[in-house]
Amino acid sequence: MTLTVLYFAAVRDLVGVSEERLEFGGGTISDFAAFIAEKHEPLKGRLASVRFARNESFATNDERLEDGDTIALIPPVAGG
Amino acid sequence: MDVRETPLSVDETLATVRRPGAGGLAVFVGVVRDESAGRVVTKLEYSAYASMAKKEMERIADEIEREIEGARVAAMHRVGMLEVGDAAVICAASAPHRAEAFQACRLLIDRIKERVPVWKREIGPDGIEWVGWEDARCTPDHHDHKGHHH
Repeated sequence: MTLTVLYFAAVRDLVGVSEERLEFGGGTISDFAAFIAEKHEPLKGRLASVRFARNESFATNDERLEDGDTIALIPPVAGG
Repeated sequence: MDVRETPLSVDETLATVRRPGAGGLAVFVGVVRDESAGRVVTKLEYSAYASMAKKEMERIADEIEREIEGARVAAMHRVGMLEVGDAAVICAASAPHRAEAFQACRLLIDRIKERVPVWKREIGPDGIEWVGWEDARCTPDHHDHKGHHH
């Protein structure tokens, strides 16, 4: 499946791009987290406090991805 | 609910919650201050996942309006480069009476800070630092491999 993956803030600095299209074999948010940490070495060991959004809503770890999803890595937020 | 690059307005935020049945209006303004954890701060650069931030703020508003009878809430968050004293966020709530208005306003700012995808970098004499994520701190090893500098 093809995903659009978005990176923000400190995660964007670590990965070096703000957005990319990736081919993913399918699975849950947890599977995707493992996949993205392999894909981008600087993320390894740093995802414990990163949340994932699927199509602009926070996703649970066991949520399954679908072709065409937009997945965003959300490092700890700091609004206000 | 809005995320914008231009200065925020208390009057505009309040106007969206005012109505004849609301006898109490509460406002919270979050402002850039001149220090953070002992470090001098001269500017804060805010960024957001703007489309999701607006949706998450709307989801929070719906929750609060369901939880607190008669409450209406509104908020706007600013992004871009802000200086000390600039308003970063404005939350407003209205309710028939003051207790519910204060409570709704408090819930609104607390949930925004917990859930809305907005980030900030502190800019001061000691350098630039992302706020709130210890794991992002660079290690010497990381610098050696990536060849970047701060």
